[in-house]
Amino acid sequence: MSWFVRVNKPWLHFVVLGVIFYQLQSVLFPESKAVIGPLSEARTAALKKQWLTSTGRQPSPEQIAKYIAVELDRDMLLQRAIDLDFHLHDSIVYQRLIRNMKFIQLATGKSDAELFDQAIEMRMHLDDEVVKRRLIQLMEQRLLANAPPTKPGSEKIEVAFIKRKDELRRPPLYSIEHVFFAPERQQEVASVIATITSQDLDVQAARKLSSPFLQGHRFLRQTPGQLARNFGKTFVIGLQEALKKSEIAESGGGEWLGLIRSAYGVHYVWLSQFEPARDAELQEVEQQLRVDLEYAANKQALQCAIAALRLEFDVRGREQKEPGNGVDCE
Amino acid sequence: MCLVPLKKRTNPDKEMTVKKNVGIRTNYLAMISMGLLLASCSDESALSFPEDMHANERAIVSTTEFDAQLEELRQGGVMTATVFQTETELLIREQALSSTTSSKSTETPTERKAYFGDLHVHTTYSFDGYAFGTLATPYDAYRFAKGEAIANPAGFNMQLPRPLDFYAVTDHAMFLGVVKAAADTSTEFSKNEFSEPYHDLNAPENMAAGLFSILNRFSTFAGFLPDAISQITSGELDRNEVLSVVRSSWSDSIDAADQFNDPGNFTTFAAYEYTSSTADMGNLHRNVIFEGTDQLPREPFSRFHSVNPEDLWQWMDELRAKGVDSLAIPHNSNGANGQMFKLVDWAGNPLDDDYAKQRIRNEPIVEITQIKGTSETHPVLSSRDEWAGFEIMPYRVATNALSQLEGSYVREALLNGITLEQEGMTNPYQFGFIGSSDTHSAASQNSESNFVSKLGLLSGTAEQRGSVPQTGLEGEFGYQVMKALGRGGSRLRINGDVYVSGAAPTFGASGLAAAWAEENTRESLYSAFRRKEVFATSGPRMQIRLFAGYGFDEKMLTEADGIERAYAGGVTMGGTLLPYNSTEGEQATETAIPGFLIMASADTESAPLQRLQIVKGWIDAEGTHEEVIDVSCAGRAIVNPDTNRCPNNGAQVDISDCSINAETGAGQLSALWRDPEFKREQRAFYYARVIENPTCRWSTWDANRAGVTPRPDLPTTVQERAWSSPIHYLPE
Repeated sequence: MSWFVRVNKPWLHFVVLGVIFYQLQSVLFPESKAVIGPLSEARTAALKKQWLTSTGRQPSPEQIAKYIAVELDRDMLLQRAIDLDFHLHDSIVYQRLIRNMKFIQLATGKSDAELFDQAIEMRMHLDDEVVKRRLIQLMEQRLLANAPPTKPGSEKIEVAFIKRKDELRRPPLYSIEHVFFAPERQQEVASVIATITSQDLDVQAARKLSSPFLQGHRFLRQTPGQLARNFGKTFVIGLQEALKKSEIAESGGGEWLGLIRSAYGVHYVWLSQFEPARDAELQEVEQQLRVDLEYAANKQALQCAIAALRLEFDVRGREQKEPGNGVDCE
Repeated sequence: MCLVPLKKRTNPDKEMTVKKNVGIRTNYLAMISMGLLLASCSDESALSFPEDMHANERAIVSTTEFDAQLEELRQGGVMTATVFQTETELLIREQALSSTTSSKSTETPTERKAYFGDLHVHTTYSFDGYAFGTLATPYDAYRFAKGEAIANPAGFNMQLPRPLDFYAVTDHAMFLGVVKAAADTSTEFSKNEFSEPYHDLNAPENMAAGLFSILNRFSTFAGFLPDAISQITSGELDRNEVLSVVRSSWSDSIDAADQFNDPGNFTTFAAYEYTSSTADMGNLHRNVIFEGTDQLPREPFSRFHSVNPEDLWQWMDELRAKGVDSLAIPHNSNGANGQMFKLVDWAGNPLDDDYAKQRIRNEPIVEITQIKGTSETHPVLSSRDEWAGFEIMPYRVATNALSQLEGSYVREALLNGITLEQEGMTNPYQFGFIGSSDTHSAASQNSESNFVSKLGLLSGTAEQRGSVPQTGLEGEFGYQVMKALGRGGSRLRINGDVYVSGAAPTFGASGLAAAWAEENTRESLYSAFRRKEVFATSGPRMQIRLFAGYGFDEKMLTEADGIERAYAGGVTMGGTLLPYNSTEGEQATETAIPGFLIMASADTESAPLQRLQIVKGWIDAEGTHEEVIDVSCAGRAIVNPDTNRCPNNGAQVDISDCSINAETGAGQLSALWRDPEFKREQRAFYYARVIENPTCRWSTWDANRAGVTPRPDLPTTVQERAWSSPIHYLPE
C-alpha cells in the first residue's frame, strides 16, 4: 500500500484540519487580555491634586503622564495579585478586613473566619488602600524573587567610577597660617610685611606680629568650603586669586600670599602646602558606588519585571509606551 | 483607640460602597455642622506677646483648666508605668564602618578651633517624628548635615547652605522605631493587632496637610502611648517583640553614626533622647550622648525603664563603670513647669551632696536654646536684662498650659547652684551651655530666612507655623471646627484674621552647639563637652571666647599670643577660677583681681555684631544677684559707665524686605574686663554673651513671602546671639 493510500483516511483529515484551524484561530482571534485602565477623569484629577499638594506646582503634561503610568502599573500589579489569590493567604490582609468588618459593626456573633469570608464576598479587599498596598507589595516581592537583580561586580563598579569621575572629584586642600591685621592696625600693615620680608622671618616668628584671630592661626588641609566657614567667602576668593598669580601650584607649598581681605580685616597668608583638586581613588568611593549600584539594580529589575508583566495585559490610557520606563531590560 | 482614621484614596472605577468610609464622612459632617453652629459666637482675643503670656488672663484660665484635667488623669498613672527592666548589657561592636576617606591631617593640632553642630535631631525612628510624616532616616539626617538635600514631609527639599561639623541623631528612646515598624506592612511587627491603625500611615496618599488630614493624624496618635503601655502591661502586646524593634532601631542608628563619622571632617555620635516628664507635664527631657561606639548598651534607657532621671544617671554610672562614658544634656527647661532645676529630688527631699555629684557628673552641659524656645532667662526673672525676652516659649512642652518660671530657666539655676555651694554642697548646676535644634524632620533648623520649624507635615506652611493668617477651609471655618473639637486654644483671631495659636508661633529658628576642640573628631569634641569648653548660638555661626585669670593685661587683645597666654595662665569657659595665690607679704594689687578676656567674631553670612556682654551672678548676705554689663561696643563706641550700656549703634532693618545696613556693626569684638565689684570672698559666676545687630524674625520672612503684614503680636525682628559657658569663681 502506497503512502498516499495510507494517509488518505477521513479521520486523519479531521485531525490535521482541526489542528490547523485551532492554530489559525489563536493567531487570528487571540484570547482577550485582561484590561487595565484607562483612569477615570476623577482619578486623574485626584493625581493632579496630589502632585500640587506635595510640590506646590501644577504638573506638566509629561509629569502627569508618568504619574498615570505608575498608577496603571499599580492597578495591574493589584489585578495579578488577586488573580493569584494573594488576598486569601496574607495575615495582614486578613487582620485588616476583619478589623474593617468590626468597625462597620457587622461582626456580631460571627467568627473571624466568617467575617473574612464576608468581607471578601463584599469585595472589600478591592477598595481598602492598605490592602491594596499590601497586595502590590507582595506582587513586587514575587516579581523580584522570580527575576532577582544581579549584584554589582567589580567591573560595574569600575564603569560607574569612570562615569561619575567629575562628580566624585576631591576638592583642593589648603594648609595655611596667617598674620592677621585687625581694622585698627591698617596703618601698620606695610611696615610689618616689610619686616617679615627683609628679615626673612619664618612663619612662627611672623605670627608674633599678628593680631589675635579668634578662629585660629593654623588651618591644615582645608577645603575652600571649610576655609569659608572661618574666614568668609571673600577671603577664599582672594586666596584663589593669589594662588593663580603665584607659582605655588607647581611647587606644592611654602610661599607668602596676600594681602587677602576678609570680613574681619586683612591677612598675610603663609601657604605651607597646596594639594590641587584631584580625581578620587576607587577605594575611597567603592562603598558609595556599590550602594548606589545595588539600589539602581533593584529598581531596574523591578521595572523590567513590571514591563514584562505589562505585555500580558491590555493597558489602556498609558501614554508612556517604552518598556521598563526607558531602562535597559535585556 | 482610633480605627482607620487615615485618608482613603477612593477608587471611582469601583462601584462598591464601604460603610466604614461613610462613617468617617459622617464624623466630618458632624464637625462641619458644629463649626457652622458656632460660627456666630467667636470671640476676639486680646493680643499678647509671648513673654507677657504669664500675665494673660486667657492663658491663666486655660492653664488652670489643664491642671484640673491632669489631676484627673494622674489617677490612672499609665504614663509613669515601668514597662521594661533596667539592663546594662553591652553590645560589643566592631569599628569597621567609619569612612575611609578621611582627610584628617597627620600633624598634631596645637590650637583649639570652634566646631559647630547639632546634638538634638529626630528622624523617622521617633514615634512623634513618624507621626509628623517624617520618613528621613538617621542616614538621611547625616547626609543633610554634610550638605545634601533631603525631603521635608510636606514635599519640598531642605538643604543647609553650609555643612555642619558634627551631628547626633537623638531619637526618642521610648518605643524607638516602633511606629515605623508598625506602619511598614512588610515587617513582622506590623502583623500584630496593635500595629493595624498605623499601617501605611506615611504612604503618599496619607501625607496631605489639610485640616482633616491633620485632625486624623492627631486622633490616630492620641492613643499610641497609653495603648502601647497598657497592651504590653496586660500581655496583649509581646514585650520582647517591642524590645526587639527598639534594639534593632538603636543598632541601626549607631550603624548610621559610624558610617558617616569621618575623623577630621565630620563627626557623629551615638545618641538618643530620654523623654521623661512629671505628672504635671513638667518637661524632664535629656539627650544622652555616648563618647564612642565600640561598646554601647544593647538598648537605650527610656522613660519606660523609669521616669525618674536619677535612675537614668544611675544607669549611666553603671555603664561608666564598664568603660562606657556618656553625658546627658537637659533641654527645654523653659517648658519644665519648674521641675528641671528644682531644689528637691524626685522623692521631694532637699538636694544633698550625693545627688549633686551624680547630677553634675552626668549632666555637665545644658541645651540653652532650641526651636521650642530659649531657656537662658525670662524677663520676669531678669527684669534688668533688656535682652531677656529672646524667643520665649511660655508653655509646658506639648501643651498650651503655662510653664512655671521658677525652676525653669538656666540663669536662675546657676544662681541657685552657687547658693547650694555656699551652704557647703557640691554645685549641681555648674554646667556649660550648648544650643541645638530638636528638629523632628532630620534637618537642623536654625536660619530665620528659611525656617520651616520642627513638625514636618504640621509645620510645612507659614499658615501652620502661625506667621500668616489662615485662609480657605483652615480660616474661619477651621477656627470654628477646632473650637467645636475643644481645641479652641489652637487658633486666635487678631484684627479679623485667624492665626494658629499656642506654642508654634513662639518657636524660634534656633540653635547650634559649638565646641572649642583641637580637631573635628569624636575624642576631641567629646573631651570639649566634658570640660564644658562649649558655647551656644541662636543659629548664626558666631564664635565667642571667654577666659579668666590673674595677670591678664590689655596686650592680650592686640598681640598674637593673647589666646595662648590666656590658656597658659587662666581658665577657659566651663572652668573654675580660684582666688589669687599671693605670696607672703605681697600687697593687694590689681593682679589679685581676675581679668576676663572676652572675644567674639561675627558670622560672615549673618549680621555684624552689636555688643559684647558679661552676665554676672553672685551671692552675698542678702541673697543672689545678677547683672548684665556691656564690655565692648560696635564702632569703637564707649560703654556708658553709669548704665553699663553701649550707645545705640543705629543698626536698622527694613521690615518690608528684611534688608539691613550691614556697614553698621563689628566683625570682631573683644575686651579685657575686670569686675569693679569683685570680692575675693564672694562666690560668683560669669558668662559672656554677644549680640548681633537686629535682623528679621522668621515670622516676618514668612509674612513678606506671603505678601501680608507681619503678625502684630509677634516680634518682627530678633537679635541673634551666642552664649559662652560660665566660669565660676570659687572662694577659699
